[in-house]
Amino acid sequence: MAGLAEVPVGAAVRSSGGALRTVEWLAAGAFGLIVLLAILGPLLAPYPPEEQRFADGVLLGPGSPGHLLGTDQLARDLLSRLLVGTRVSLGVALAAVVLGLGLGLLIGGIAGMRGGWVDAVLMRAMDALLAFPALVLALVIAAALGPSLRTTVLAISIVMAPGFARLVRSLTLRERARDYVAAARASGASAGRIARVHILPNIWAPLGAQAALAFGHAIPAEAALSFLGLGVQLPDPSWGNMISEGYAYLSLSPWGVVLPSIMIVCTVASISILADGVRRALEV
Amino acid sequence: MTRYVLRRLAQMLPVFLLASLALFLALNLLPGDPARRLLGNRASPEQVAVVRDRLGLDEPVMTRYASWLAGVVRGDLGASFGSATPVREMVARALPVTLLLASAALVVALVLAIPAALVSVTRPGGLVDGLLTVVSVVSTSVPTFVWGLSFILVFALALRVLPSSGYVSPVADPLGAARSLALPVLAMALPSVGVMARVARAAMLETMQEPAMQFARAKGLSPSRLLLVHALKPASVAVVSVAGVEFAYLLGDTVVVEWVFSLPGLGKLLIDSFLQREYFVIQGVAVVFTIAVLFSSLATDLVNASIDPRLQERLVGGAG
Amino acid sequence: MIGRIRWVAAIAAVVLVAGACGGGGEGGGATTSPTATGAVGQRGGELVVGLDSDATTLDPAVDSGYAGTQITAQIFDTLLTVGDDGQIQPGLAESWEQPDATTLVLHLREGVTFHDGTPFDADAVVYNLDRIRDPNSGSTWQGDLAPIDSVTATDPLTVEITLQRPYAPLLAVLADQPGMMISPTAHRADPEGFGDAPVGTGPFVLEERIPDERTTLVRNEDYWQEGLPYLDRVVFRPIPDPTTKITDLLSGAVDIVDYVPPQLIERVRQAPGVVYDVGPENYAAAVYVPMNPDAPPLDDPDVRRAISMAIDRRTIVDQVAFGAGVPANQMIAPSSWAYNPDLPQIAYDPEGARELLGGRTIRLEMQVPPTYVQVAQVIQQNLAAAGIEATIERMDWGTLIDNYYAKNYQIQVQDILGLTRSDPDGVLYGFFAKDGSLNGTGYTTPEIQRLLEQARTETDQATRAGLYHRVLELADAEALYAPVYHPANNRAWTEDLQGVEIKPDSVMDLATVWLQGG
Repeated sequence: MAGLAEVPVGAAVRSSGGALRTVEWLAAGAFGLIVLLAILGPLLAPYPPEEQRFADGVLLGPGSPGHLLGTDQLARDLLSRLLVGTRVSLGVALAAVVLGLGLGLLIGGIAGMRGGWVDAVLMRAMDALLAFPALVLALVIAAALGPSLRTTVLAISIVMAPGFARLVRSLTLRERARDYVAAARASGASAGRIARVHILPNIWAPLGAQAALAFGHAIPAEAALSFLGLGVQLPDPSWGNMISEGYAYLSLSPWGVVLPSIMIVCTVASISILADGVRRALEV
Repeated sequence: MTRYVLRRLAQMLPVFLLASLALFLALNLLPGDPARRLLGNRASPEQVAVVRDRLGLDEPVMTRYASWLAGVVRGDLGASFGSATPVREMVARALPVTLLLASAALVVALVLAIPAALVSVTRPGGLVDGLLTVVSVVSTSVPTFVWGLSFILVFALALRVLPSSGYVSPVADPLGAARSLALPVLAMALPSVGVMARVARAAMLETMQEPAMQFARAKGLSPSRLLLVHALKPASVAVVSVAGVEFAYLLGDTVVVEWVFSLPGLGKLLIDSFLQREYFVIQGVAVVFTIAVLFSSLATDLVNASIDPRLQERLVGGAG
Repeated sequence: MIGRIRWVAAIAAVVLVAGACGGGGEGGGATTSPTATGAVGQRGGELVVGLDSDATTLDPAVDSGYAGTQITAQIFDTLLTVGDDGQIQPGLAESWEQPDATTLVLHLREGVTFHDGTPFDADAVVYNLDRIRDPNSGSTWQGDLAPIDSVTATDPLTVEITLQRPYAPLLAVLADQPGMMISPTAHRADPEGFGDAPVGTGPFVLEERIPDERTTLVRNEDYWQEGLPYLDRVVFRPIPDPTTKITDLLSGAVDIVDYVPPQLIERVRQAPGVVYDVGPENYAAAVYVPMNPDAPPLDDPDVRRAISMAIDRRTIVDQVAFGAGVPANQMIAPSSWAYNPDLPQIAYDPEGARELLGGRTIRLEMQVPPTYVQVAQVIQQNLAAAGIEATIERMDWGTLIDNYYAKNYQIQVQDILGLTRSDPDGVLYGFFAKDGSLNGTGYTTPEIQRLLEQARTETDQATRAGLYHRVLELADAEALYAPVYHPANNRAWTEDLQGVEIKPDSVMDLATVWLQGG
């Protein structure tokens, strides 16, 4: 979970401007495919992901009859688990980013629009959240609320909220300083209207780039939490707990670990390449 | 400088208070009676009352927070419920392991990232640059625990050259400590290498494009010399400024790495406590984590400020 | 794991009574010392032992769990010991006799000292047994010594135990944790701290204890068994994640593990450089699902029976445990003479279970230790097929056991892995008597209680067996525990480690093992 949300991974200097490069198109394609799998996954899955079909056999390799990718230690269809796990992992990450972004908009927006002591208190509160290493904060939340899929989403979104809030606040301040906003204010527009009409539309692009980065961090965060047994709970599949379970059987059948690992790496890599490209294209 | 340090400390105080308050409330406003949870259903109401009294659970929540915080300030983090061992003792044993792990990972990441950036900048867009970009994307995209599991697989199980777990104190046995920390440190460092190399590369490229540098190049100074003399410093500034943030993440990563490699640090203590439902230990360990993060960010700011004094004003002014 | 409480002893627990009948012959006959194996071992070296969890305490008067017993057995000696055949053998007591049905005389070994230099003598034995018997001691074994009327030192090396009534399991009890002798000096000096600073007469001496990290023992240079132990040091490391524990064994980071969890058995069997072996069938070894009758809807016996019927035991043994075990229908292992062969196997019958529930939807929380996450998922699917929705709550062994005794659960996945006395009173009284030391349901019926008490005082093994068969039958109807399977008494260690024997009670004997080479 290195460099969560704070570090501009692809820092701006590259031959700037212009369209996406080939590698970025490839990344976009890969990411699109993964998203498609997540959406269609449950439809494509030949079996329910938690169904134990011991009659078929445990730890079957890829290409076994009836099981394209084989089965896991409890004779569950690996393809089905991987597909549904893809939906679970992407879903958790997406929900966490959306929630984190929402919190960030709310807190950063209020801080930026109101200023003064409200701003100071809210931003100190965000600093306070940043004082927890991400996994520690997530673990405390899991301890407080009991580990579950919902807790995982909440924990990751709270970890992301300060990054979004800071960005929203600084963008809001930047926009507020512009002449047209000052003019709108002079003409008596309410703060809510200014925020809605003048500021929001102008900060979506950088927020989007930040959200893409955050998504790339939410994926390994969920995986780590589920790996530790603090995230998505068994028998629901997610990439993290598939790795955690499969690890015990590594020498008998590596697929339960290898396949979800590949999914994680492909997802995170394609998002980070894509996010770089989008940022450059938008010249943020 | 002293004034600066004092102001930064003054800024840290409310942040720490809010962090500790959030932590305390999260773990103390749970539904259900903590005393009942600790004692189980078989306990009589009298036993529950005794424990409630011992833990001070009948006090108002803010009073309890205040007395807990006063304890933290004095260095008293409470006691574990199960073993009655003071949390301070547990933390005192575990903290050095975690700090050592995170610092070593940071150093390794720096040592790998800056040369990588230097090499890639000598010919931007070249083969080496491209290769390093790929490597950095991959190294960042593999989660720390997957690196850890893979290293155990290769170096501990297949080659049997390094241990899969266990901690050796560097004071007692430096070589043994290096061996026992090699895999976890590398697993933590790799994702950071990618981040830092890219930051350093970007800073170097930026410097190279400054008019002064282009002028110097036009005058025939060799590019590698230029890089070493002129680009290394801005790159260092850029890297140091992310190093503080990176250190905070590395501290968080210790949670999963210490679990994978069975290292007796704060992170493993946290998970052990979670599995043992030792909420008071979790509380104590988490607050120590926040203190570590706050001081690491202070240290980063100080290093930055000493490299570039102009930053002092900016940091003091706009830390929000 | 509840049952991971160590009790050693023999079918020959009856010896007390038999001896009494025979007019007080020499019990074990001061025969050979248990060491007479011929010292072929190699001195030196450090052994690292991987355990499922940390000991909760190292005070043998309190149940310290499976892990704790593996450690305390190296620090303390017992008054008597038990052979693989179940025969009671000498320990710190060289010989014993029973002049009548309610008297036991122990003749102690001369020249034994505790690690702190305190001589081991009759006064020490009196101190030890009285300590456990003290109603305020909080000892787990109070009930086991309850039939004792008095313990007196008749001379420095002779102890006389007087019973209130005949008590068949007594010798077996003294060969187990209640018979572990601690240093009175050390205990008097700091009773509270004794669990962290134990002092015994055993082959190893505590050097350092760091909770949840490691417990280090060093060789007792003055051990009373000549030439033993071979090892210089033993380090116990609690490794709560079973996969990590086994990975550490395969990579050489640990030399031996306490137990190979079912899901990792095949991996260990296939690993080079590692020995996997199965010992004699345990006196008691069962993976089981306890059901708390105070937690609705488990107050309804039909629900408990339905849960037991819904479990597919055969699949769990064959598929999850790689065949290393047998499906269970009662809490005592088939190796015991108290095993009831007439009880039918519990048929896997999800439809029957559904019918018993009568269309009710039932939601349960199932508490699961790391060792049995895979087993629990099969049970979860089995229950779902019968209309019971169970969620899995994972926790470490210590918490699981605390919850069990505190009745802080609905259902759990639990185990007992040996560590029980060979006398079936240990496991059966333990699980089914109201005050049984293994009873986490807090429940019994008057009839079961009466039969268990009666079996304690009977002298004839056949009579006792009949009583126990009836107990098991009644317990089957109550269905407070759903026995799942009897796991193999397995262990794994590095091939450099020699002299390892797996005992029927699963307790490691580290005095007689040695490391080859380096």
